[in-house]
Amino acid sequence: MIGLHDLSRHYGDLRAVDDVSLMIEAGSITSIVGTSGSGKSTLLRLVNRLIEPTSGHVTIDGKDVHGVPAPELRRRIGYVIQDHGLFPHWTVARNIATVPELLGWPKARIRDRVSELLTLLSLDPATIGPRFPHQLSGGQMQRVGVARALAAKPELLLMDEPFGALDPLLRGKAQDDLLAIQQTLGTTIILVTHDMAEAIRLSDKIAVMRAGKVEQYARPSEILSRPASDFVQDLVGEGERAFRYLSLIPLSQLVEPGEASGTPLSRNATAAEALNAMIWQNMEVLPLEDGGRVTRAALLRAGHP
Amino acid sequence: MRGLSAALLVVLVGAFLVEPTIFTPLLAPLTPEGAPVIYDRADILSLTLAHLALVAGAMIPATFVAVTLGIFVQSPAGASFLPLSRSLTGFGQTFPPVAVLALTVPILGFGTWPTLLALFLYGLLPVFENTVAGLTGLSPTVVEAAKAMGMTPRQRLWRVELPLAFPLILQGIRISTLVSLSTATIGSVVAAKGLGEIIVAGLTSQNLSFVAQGGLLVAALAVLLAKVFDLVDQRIRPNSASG
Amino acid sequence: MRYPDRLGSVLAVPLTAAFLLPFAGLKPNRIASAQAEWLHDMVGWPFAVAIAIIAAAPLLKGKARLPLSAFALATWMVVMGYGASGLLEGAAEYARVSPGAGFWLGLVSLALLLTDTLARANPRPLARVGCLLAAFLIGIMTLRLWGDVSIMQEYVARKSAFWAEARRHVGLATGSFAAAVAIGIPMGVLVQRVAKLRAPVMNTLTAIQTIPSIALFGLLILPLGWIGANVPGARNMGIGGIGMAPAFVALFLYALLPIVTNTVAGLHGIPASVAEAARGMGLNPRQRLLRVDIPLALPVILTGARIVLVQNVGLATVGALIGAGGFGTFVFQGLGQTASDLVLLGALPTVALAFAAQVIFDAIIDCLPGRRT
Repeated sequence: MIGLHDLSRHYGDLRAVDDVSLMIEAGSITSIVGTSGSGKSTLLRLVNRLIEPTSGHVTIDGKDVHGVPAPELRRRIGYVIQDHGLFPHWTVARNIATVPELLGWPKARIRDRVSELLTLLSLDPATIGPRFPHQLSGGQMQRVGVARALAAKPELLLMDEPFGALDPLLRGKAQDDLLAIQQTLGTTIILVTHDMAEAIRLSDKIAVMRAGKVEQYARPSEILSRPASDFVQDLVGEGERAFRYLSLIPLSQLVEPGEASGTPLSRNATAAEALNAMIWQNMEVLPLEDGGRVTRAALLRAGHP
Repeated sequence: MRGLSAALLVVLVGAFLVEPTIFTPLLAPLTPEGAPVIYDRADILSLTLAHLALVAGAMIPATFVAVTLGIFVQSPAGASFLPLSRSLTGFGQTFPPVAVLALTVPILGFGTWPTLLALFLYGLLPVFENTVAGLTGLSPTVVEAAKAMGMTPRQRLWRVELPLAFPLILQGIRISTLVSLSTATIGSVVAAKGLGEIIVAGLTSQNLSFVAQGGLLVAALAVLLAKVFDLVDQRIRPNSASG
Repeated sequence: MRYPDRLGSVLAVPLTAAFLLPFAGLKPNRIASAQAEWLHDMVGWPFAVAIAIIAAAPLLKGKARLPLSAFALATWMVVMGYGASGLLEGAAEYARVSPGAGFWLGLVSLALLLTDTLARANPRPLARVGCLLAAFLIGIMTLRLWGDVSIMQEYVARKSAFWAEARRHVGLATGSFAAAVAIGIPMGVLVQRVAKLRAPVMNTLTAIQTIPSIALFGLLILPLGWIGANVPGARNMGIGGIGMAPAFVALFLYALLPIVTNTVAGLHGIPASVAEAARGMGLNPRQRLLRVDIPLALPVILTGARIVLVQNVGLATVGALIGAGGFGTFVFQGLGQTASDLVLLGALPTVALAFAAQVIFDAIIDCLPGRRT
């Protein structure tokens, strides 16, 4: 459980973070969304003390982060940034081994952990491990950055626009990977992004920031259906609202008994995917893989709160 | 320069140091009537070693002090001295090496010590400047990443910042060393032991052969030393493509 | 609100030492060793305390630091002059007073303080030149009061020779500089365009750099002497063996590399898009060079020129060894006679000249369009 209590960070007259209080549940993915200058990156850096607060404090599992020396704290928190910041003079393997080395892990354990992480992120340990960052592609560098952050099995992972530099195809895959990793490792993730669609897709809860304050902190469905202010509503946008809302609903919630013809959909697919398939195939109803079916009418009904 | 020419130069220099009389026919045309062709007032090899010792004796402490100062000026404790250090290095660039030598003699008298001090002071600058440039020129993302991984400031300095700044620092050491090699010759005017002795002797006795021996030997040493620095630079480059 | 900052606290140490160390040295003649004289002995305790307060005032950081440190520096110089006069009253006829360790330490500390204050103010180019001029004028005025200090006495004793050497020094430095710029820039343009020329030219120029200055001076004596003897009219132009000619040629050769390197780098740094746009607009090669390429490369080229000018002022000092004259004459004479005042008479103007050249040139570079943000 991560607690932000009355957190403020001022730079002279500028209130980069203005009296923010949030409670983040362990094992959840929380997105902090806002436009540039909203203070979201500052807020993130207050958690691992890259920036110190002007007032207020941060607790992890009830303990104030200020009670621990900063370097020690940061070794327990993973950190991923948009430009990944890989050390150019070290191999990929050594980059990933950074924190385990700082913690004094035995060499064999480090070696195994590096291989494990590279494989987890679909990178071949034998070929990628000995390479230097400048020899990697953008997508590979991003994945190595994530591997490096996860190396010491942190309970908390902080990410600042981690997928911003990737093209749309890679971005989707990277987001899938993140969800999969989170499922496997159960890490608490705090993710900063300016992309609302990404936030809706990934998060258990979203905090919308503007001018240093949190305007709304709620589940994605609530952000969509009951935006707390005009700003939040503008951020979501009216254009894709219904489809985004549908993307939060798995078909297992809308299945009804019965048969239908056509290509079966998975139970885990979202209502948005189902509606897209039905429009494209010009069908009114489609079957599900494990039995049952879903109708277009049910989808359309589910599309509004 | 290519490896072959470097090897050839090494052979020539070695031959001259061991058995200079081989070169007599080449140098004879430059010698005035009746004067010795090869410098004979002292052993050329020992002069060469003394010269190199002078340069090393100045450059090694200069590197140590300059890099330490460069690190200090970058740290929070020393940051208030950064503008002053910038002005000083700017001023120091204008200070002619001869003037440094001239000003140390009244303090330390004649001989090797004033030359050593002058070479030390003058050698500080390029190394200091390049250390500061190297440390400030690091990618901020990489430095932040090092911090975020949980490195203490000292670990950051030794594991990330210094290794990445090293190519630039090496450039500074290279410039300093090559300039020192040349400036050390002037030290012989104030009786420092070195290859300048041969040149000065040639100037005073109007023996061009002496001037050529001393001058070309120093030049050859400079070229070879530059080659050594190049080799070291190449070895460390591929591992740090960009800061 | 004035408070002691880091720099002030650090400089307080040498400044205190400056009062504890001998302020001047009284010598029975110009080459004997000096007897130490302390400030309070020279000007009396009340004045010494007053000067201590004036010197300590700028150590506290505040708005008035700039005028206070300038005033302190000027006072320091004036005190030396008056103190020297005081010491010589009643001393032997050939007695000399020279500045002591305390004076120099205090001078350097106050100068550092003033420099830091000026650097933080980040003055614009013209303001920098203005400061230089002000420092120069103040320096001249305080030196008028230095009549009884040994360095000025050396100066007075050989006044006409001093200015003659000064003219020679400036002539040598700026003449070879001008020649190097006139030939080096076109050479750089040529090398940048004809790739095949680059390696041979750069290698030759770099090889020249490795030859120590005194050796190059010496090596040029013979050929130039031959030209002076055998080529009609050469001797009238001043070309000859010993003298200014070998130094001039050597300085010119040393100056070529930085000019050529910077010209090449400056031209190389022009974005390809700009070059293409110029071609597309219909400018012929000569117009492109004069109107686009050179102006864009100018900051880098002028930086190289600045380096060369400063370098030449310094190297010209060494030329004295082969009879080229210049301030080096006094340096080497002083070294030969163990008269440190004579050495200073040669070294200090050289440093001042080099520093002035750097400041003025930097100001010119910063005044180029598009430089200062």
